[in-house]
Amino acid sequence: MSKKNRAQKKIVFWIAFYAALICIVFFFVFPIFWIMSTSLKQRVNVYTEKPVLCFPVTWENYQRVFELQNFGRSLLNSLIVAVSVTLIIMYFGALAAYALTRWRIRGYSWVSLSIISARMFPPIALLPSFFLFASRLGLVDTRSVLVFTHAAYGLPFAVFMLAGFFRQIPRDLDDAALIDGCGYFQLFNKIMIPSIAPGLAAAAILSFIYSWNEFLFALVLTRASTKTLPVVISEFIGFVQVDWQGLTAMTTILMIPSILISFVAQKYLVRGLTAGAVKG
Amino acid sequence: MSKLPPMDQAETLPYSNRFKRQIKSHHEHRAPYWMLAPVLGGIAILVYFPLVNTFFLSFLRYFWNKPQQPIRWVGLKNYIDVFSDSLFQQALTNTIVFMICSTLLSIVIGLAMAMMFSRDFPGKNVFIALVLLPMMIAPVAAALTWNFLFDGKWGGVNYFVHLLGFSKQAWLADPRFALPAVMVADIWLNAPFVFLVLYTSLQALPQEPIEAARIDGGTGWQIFTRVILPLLIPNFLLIFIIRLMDTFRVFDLIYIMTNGGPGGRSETVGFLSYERTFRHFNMGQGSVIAIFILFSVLIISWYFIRTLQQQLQEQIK
Repeated sequence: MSKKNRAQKKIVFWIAFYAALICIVFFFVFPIFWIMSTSLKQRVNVYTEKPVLCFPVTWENYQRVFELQNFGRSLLNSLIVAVSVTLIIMYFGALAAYALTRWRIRGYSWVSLSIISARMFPPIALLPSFFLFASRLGLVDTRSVLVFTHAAYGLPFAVFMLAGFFRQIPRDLDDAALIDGCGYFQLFNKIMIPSIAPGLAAAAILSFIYSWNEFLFALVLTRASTKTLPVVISEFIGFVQVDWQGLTAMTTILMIPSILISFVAQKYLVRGLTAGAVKG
Repeated sequence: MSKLPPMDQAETLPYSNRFKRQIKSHHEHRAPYWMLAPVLGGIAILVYFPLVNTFFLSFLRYFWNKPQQPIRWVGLKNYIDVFSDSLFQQALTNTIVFMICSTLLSIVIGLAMAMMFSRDFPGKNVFIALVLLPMMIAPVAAALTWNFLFDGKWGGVNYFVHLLGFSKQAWLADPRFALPAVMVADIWLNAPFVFLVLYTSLQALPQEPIEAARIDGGTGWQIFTRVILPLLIPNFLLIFIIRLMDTFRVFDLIYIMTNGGPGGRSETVGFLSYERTFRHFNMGQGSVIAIFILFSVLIISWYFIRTLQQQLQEQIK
């Protein structure tokens, strides 16, 4: 009797477990699915009070979005900025992380404190003066100002993360190269960079996504010709009648890199993302 | 070959002559400074200098759309104006409500998920991948997604609300629901990260105390509350701080979803600072709010900064 009871209890438990699981997955996945499916719908199927689940797929929304002159350019801007930011952060971030992990330099605690707290400063606190400088120097509406801003803002986290990866490279490797007559920079470029490739991959992904997603700096520092994707999309709303077909198509395009990356590179990411928050 | 002494002691420890020649010690010891220079320089110019300048701006009467108007030093006047402004007070209240609710809810949801996934079941990895999907998505995209879902006419939320027998709402235009709606979007966007951190921490927990409690006859719930939760306290503290810090400066979601409205009911300090600076052209007041946010965030995150610094110091070999 008790055995049967226990079996029953177990079944009830697993039913409840899967029910809860499905609710959670639904909450996190449904909105994405909803946006993506709407972007493939024809007009009749978008503006209905009851969600349409079976519909003829159409690419007309994407076609229309790409015909907007602004959109293609902003996509290009976003890509150029994000790629440049990623390259800068990867190289200089690794360089700084290497210096921080291999030497106890003078003023070490101040250096590390200033790098780490730079990551915590809210961007909004820099923005008033940042905008003033940029407009004085005539840098507003250039891509380079955005690249430097994103790089400076993304570097601290990358340095911190890469330091964790350098720790795993044995000191013997440095020593061997030094004895063979390598200079420090040569050692770094030729030996260290290849050996922390996984760390660099994680840093690259996070920097790319950070720059791709970033909104506040881009909103303030760009004008007509250099707007990035999030800025252009944000301007698309705010009219009386919201064009949800176009917006869902744009949102999907904005989401795609993040979703692809979180599927393909999840293993790399987990360590990078949780750096600092998980001790272990 | 015997192990070499660490480089930081290179100048003080006696080496063999042969090795000394090869390490070129004096000249090359500038290397770490050159390596750090680009990052430190970049941060100094692009982060610290503007920060100090914002502090300076907060004492000025400065409307940047009127270049002919003289810029005047007004001392603490901007501070007094901002702190006695009822919109700022409302924004601060909203921000604190948003910060606390959003942080606590995302931690509760993240913890519940971490506990569920700490068990093995078929399809676990697929479910994890699905649940983590929102984590990397742009806040702008998340805001637009929820904008669409909360749409009064065509939104998916209203459909489900209707199914459950409640009346439809214009969520984002309703003073009661605007801020909670933004919270939902924030939790959707950030709970996966909380889950990921707590899940990885759970995997890294020492198994001995849990085993011991099980052998002593503890029930699942007892083990959870008396053994696992106390062991996770450091992780909770860090994730709590990260979330508080991020929610205190919420901007993107507000900008896209509600624009601070209706009637300031979802105004937050971050958004108000932007509005003052870039919509009212009032550099002084915008900077005051910016500085206020800066100090609040620094106070919140001080423990986190110190922890990270210690971890970084441990990385030295």
